[in-house]
Amino acid sequence: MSKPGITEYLRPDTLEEAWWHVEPGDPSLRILSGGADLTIHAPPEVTTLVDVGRVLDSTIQTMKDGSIHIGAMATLTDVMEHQDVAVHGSGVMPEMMVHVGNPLLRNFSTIGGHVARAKLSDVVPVFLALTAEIEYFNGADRSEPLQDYYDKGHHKEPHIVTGLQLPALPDRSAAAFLRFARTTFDFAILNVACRIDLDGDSVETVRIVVGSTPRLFQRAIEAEDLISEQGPTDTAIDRAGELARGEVRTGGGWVASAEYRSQLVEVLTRRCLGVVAGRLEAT
Amino acid sequence: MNLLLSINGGQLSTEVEAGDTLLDALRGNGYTSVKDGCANGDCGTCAVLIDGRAVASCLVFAGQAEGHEITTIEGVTGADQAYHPLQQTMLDAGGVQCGYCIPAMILTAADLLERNPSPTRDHISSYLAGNLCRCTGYVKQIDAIEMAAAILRGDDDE
Repeated sequence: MSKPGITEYLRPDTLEEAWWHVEPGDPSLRILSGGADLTIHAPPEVTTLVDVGRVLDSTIQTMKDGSIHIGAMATLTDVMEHQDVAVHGSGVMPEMMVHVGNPLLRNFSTIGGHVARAKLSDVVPVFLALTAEIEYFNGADRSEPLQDYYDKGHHKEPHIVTGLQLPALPDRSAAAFLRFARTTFDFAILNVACRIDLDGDSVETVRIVVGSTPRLFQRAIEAEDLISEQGPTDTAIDRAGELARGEVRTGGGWVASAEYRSQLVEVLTRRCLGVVAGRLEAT
Repeated sequence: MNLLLSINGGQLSTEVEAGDTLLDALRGNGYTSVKDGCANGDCGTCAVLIDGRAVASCLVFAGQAEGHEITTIEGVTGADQAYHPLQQTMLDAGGVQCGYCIPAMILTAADLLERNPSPTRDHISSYLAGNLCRCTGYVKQIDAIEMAAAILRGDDDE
């Protein structure tokens, strides 16, 4: 059905031309990349779309240092099926992505649009667990950790997401993703993405990112610190679940109460870390 | 605004409103095999192929489709009007009942088989997650896709 509020459709040929439209921060204007969100949920004040499909890169490239660069216009399917992304972080990306909508949605939704929209997401916690960097244009090319992009509110300022970068991981690294939803089609009531890197027998990096709390994400720092100190032992994993439950703030709504979500934090964190520990043993 | 759309190997010059979806543009130009089911991305009956990949056309603005190759069910039929194996096996297996969801389901299956010539039943079921059917329960449609996959692989030629 035609979207009646949309009266202008702009198709810039260059990033600079796109930025000229975006820079003033006009609330009646939205950047259009994949479009799934805007076709359904365009706010009533939006009248103008800036289609950046001609401007942005959709390729996925593995760099010499082992990092992976993902162009903002790459679809969720492109990300899910890329041979190097598929094995990065012990395959956590396709493990998560298969739960995002369905193929008809994933085949056209873009990773740049998804990250920039900053709403309930299974994707964002996984990118955060993999310590992704985001690249965007706001008059100049910028790059920063994805977590900073959200924590510092840069996602709310005028900008155009141009890509994401997944840093190379050490040989002994594993990640996992778990979610809980009422049905396959529903947004997750809660999700958890975990990653542990080992250097010899010592833990080098731990990420525990809880999403759909219903906030976009929260890191379970105390739980991360415990695993860093004690390693992914059964006892430490049990305790990390308890710590995560204590530190992650949850909210209630029509799909779940705050208390229910809080219990899910503990259970999913424990299980997710258990999966990661098992995958590390196999490395 | 005026768009030049590539549809089923041909070119279509058409006038659309800024807020029109690809679904609007296709149905407005007579491609009524593309169904206007929910217009909300839930039912999948509006699916078409964009550059070979199945996409819900209600979730795509018409302007986004310019420069891409769009395929509707009319585009998978051979030049001699022979049915595509997926069309034939859907009939043979009894996968078509009311038929409303079938054009989109065949296109989605065509996308799947192009990328995975030997899908398991679980793969097929998973790939049809966005295509709702209220008649069949999917069993015969999955049978049909398996049969078509075998034909396209040339299994019958051995």
